[in-house]
This record gives sequence, structure tokens and C-alpha cells, in this order.
Amino acid sequence: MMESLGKSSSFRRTVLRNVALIWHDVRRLWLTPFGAFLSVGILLLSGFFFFQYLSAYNLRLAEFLASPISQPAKRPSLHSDIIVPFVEALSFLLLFVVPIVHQRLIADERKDRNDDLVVLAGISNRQYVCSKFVSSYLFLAPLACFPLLFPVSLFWFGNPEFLPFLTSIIGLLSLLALFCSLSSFVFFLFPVRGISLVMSTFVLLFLYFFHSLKNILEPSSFWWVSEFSPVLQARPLFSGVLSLSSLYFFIGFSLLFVFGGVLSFDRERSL
Amino acid sequence: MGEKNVAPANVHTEVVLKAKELRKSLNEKHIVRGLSFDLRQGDSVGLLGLNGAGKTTTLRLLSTLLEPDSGELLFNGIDVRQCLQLYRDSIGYLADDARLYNECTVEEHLTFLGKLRGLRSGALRRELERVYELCDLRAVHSILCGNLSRGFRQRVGLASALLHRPILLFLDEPAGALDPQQREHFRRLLSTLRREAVTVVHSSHILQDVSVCCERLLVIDEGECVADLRSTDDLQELEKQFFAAVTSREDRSQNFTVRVRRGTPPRGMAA
Repeated sequence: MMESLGKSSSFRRTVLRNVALIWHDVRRLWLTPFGAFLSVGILLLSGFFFFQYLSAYNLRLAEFLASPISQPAKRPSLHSDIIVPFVEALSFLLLFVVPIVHQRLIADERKDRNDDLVVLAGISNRQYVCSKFVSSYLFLAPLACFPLLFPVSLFWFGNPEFLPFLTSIIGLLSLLALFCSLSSFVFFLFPVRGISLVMSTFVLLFLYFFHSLKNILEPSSFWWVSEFSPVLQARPLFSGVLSLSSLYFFIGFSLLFVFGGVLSFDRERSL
Repeated sequence: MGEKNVAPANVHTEVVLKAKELRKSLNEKHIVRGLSFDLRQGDSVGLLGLNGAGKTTTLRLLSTLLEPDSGELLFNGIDVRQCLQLYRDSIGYLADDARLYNECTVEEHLTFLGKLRGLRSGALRRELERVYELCDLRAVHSILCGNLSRGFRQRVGLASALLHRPILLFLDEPAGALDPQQREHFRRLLSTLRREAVTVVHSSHILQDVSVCCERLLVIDEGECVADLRSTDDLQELEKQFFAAVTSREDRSQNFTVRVRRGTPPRGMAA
């Protein structure tokens, strides 16, 4: 029967099925005004932040130019004074956007029980969870990169370094992958809609400010905080240093949380 | 009415699906208690029971959306867990509230499901044409699923279930939202499927609905199969048999409870 229906071979079929699912999810997010609202919102807020940092940079540049030669002020840098804080602010914005996207992608689909359709169509639990992670990432990555047009404009007016800028983008996308995997894990762990949104936002916020624990608590006993803080791990990448250990950290933890999501979904739908 | 007597052209006698002592509890309540029955190729079986009898849970167990607490489900003699992908490729399931992606048009929704099923473009086009014809959907193929009436949603759900030419079809109260004309169309569709030797399990709490299109009626009560009836044109006789099967249980349990409260032995235990 499968031959008569023109079905593909097993591996190719699995790949095509997953591509179809991911494409459908990404398209679904852009089909409704949801995608447009999010991108406009992010663009407006990031634009606001960008011009704040640009104004601060101009002030510092004016101070530098006005400073006496005998006691020169520190020369401001386009990368460390505009691009780095801008990318950090953008990552903070994404922290709130990721759970909203998962609310629509995972929780709403499960509320409407459309996941039954997908599972019955032959998508395994593992493929389902992975495809949700990939879909959210593919939707959010352009959304995160779009506001980078602001710092790109600096290349017309100034002379920022290109490679550190590229490394900052890699850092932002790595942090986004971690946010997506952790948030999807929380959504699969707490299937109740609303609760998962709150929990996911809370967990991401906690993770974002995790490194502050080191300041509050005894620094010598909590040395490991910096090892597990995504913000501290992302900082070298943001500032233009291509740190492999940071990249391994993001890849490792992203895979770990995706695996956690698979386990949670499996537990619920085991057969 | 006479359509149920149309004999399938190529009915085989082997058992396609065998349920053995299926049990399922949800929220510590026993929903399905030791359900056993056989389905042969081309069978048209009605699951008949009062509200809350366990029909939907039974269908969700049969369609592998729920895992039984105990018992076995054998597909062509093999445990479905051993051949899950093949089994899911062989079944179609229509839920009582048809699950659709509301932001997609009917065509987009069906195309997506076809791709998930691994259908390639040419075959997919052909199958879409076939289900448009079967379910009379040509007029609404470009309308958003979210804007469809309940009857049309049910038809799109049915088209989704038929898209990959399943050999087992599980329909959960499919005629509930249909008007009389659509019901007649639905009956004709079921007889067409029977001619193609598709095994159909059709649940309803309305005797007339299932007696017209099914040859065999399984009466479910409190998660147990209490009667296995052959459908006849004599609706009154069927009604009598159905109520005899259902109320005898109720009488027994009520009688037992009343007598235990009064301190007298229940009927049948006095001797």
C-alpha cells in the first residue's frame, strides 16, 4: 500500500516528515499577526536601547576629545561601549520572548490536542520534542538577528571591528539555543498551560541572574556559580573572544535540556 | 437503512486487531476494565454505550494515544508496541472534537498531514483529490479551519483520517455534529469504505446512529463489554437488547447497594 501511495524510503521519509513539521510550525508562527507583533516589539525596544548606548558613547567620546593631553580620558570603543551592552540587552529581551513563543508552539498545540494528530501521523516523541526546539529556534534566530541591523549601521559611520561583532552574534545565538531548550523542557515538564509559561519565565530569569548568587553568598564557596552561569559564559563571546569552552557549555546544556524534554514527553505518552 | 447489508467486496476473515483484557485508569478511576474483542478485516463495528461508559478512552487506547495499564493489543497477531510505526501508518482516528490547525486553510491542513504521513507531491495531490471527493470538501478547501462550522470541521477531521488510506478507522462520535443530509452522506461514505475492506470502529451513544451503519454492536458499560450484538433492521428489538445489557447491570448494582444498606442479601445471593 505504501508503494502505491508513492511513499519515500524510511530514512528519507523520516527526514521529510520532520522538515514538514518544522516548516509548518515556523510558518504557523508567521501566518498570524503574532510573528509581526513580536518582531515589531523587539525592534522598537532594541532600537530604544541602541540609541541609549549610542548617546552614552557620544558623551564619552566628547569627554575623551575634551580631556587634556596630559590626563587623557579612556577612549571609548564602538564594540565594548555599544555592541556588547546592546547584545546583552537583546538577550535579556529574548528571555521574555522565548516562553511566549513556546506557549504558542507547544502549550496551545497541546491544549487543542493537535499533538495527537502529529503523533498519530508517525512522528515519534523524540522527533516531536526536537522539532519543537528547532522550530522555536528557527523562528527566534531571525527575530534576534533582525535588530542587529542597528549595530550594522555603525559600519557606515564608524569603524567597529568585524570579527568581534561576529563573535557577539555567535554568543547571542548560543544563549538563545540554551533559552529555547530550557524553556521547551519546562513546557514539556509542566503540561498545564499558563503554569508552564510562568514557570518557564521564572526559570529563565533565575538562570539569567544566577551569577548574582556569587555576589550575595560567600564567593569562595560558590566558585561553581560562574561555571554554570550562562550570562558569564556568554560574556567572553559577547566581548569578541571566541571561547570554545563557552560554546561547549551552550551546546552541552542545550542538548541536555532537549533530552530532558524528550524524557518528560515520553513519560506522558509512553507506549 | 438498507446500506448496512452491502457486503464488502474483499472481506477477509482473519483477525486484524485483537484487544485482550485492556484496562485503563485515569485519575485513579477505572475507565476501561478488562475489555476484550476481535476485529476482522472489513468489519464495521459500533461501540455503543451511555455517556461516560468508556467509549472515547477505548478508542484512544486502540489508536495508541493512551497506553493501557494492562492487557494487550495485537495487530495481525503482533503486539502494537513491537510495530508501532506500522500500526500508526495503518490506522485513522477521528476524535469527537475534530483536531484542526485553525490558522491554516483546509488544504494547508491536509497537505501538512499528508507530508507528515510521508506522501510525495504527486501522490499527495491525488489523495487530496480523493478525500475532497469522499468528504465533499471541494467547496471549502481554501477556507480557514477556524472559520468552519462544526459539521465541516468533522468532515475535515474525517478527511485527515482517510488521507493515507488506513485499513483501520476509529471514529469517535463522528455524526454528532452533522445535519441529516451530512449524516446520509456519512453513511454512504462508510459503506464505500466497507467495500474497500476498511475496518471501521464507530462509537456513539445513539443506537440509531450505529445500528444503521454497523453490522456488529459492542455494548460498553462502565468500561466493560457487556454485549456483542448483531445489528438488525429491527431497531426496537436492538433497543431492547441494548437496554437489557445496560440496565441489568445497573439494576444489579443498585439492588446490591440497597439490599446491603438494608442488611438483606442481594438478589441471586439469597439462596
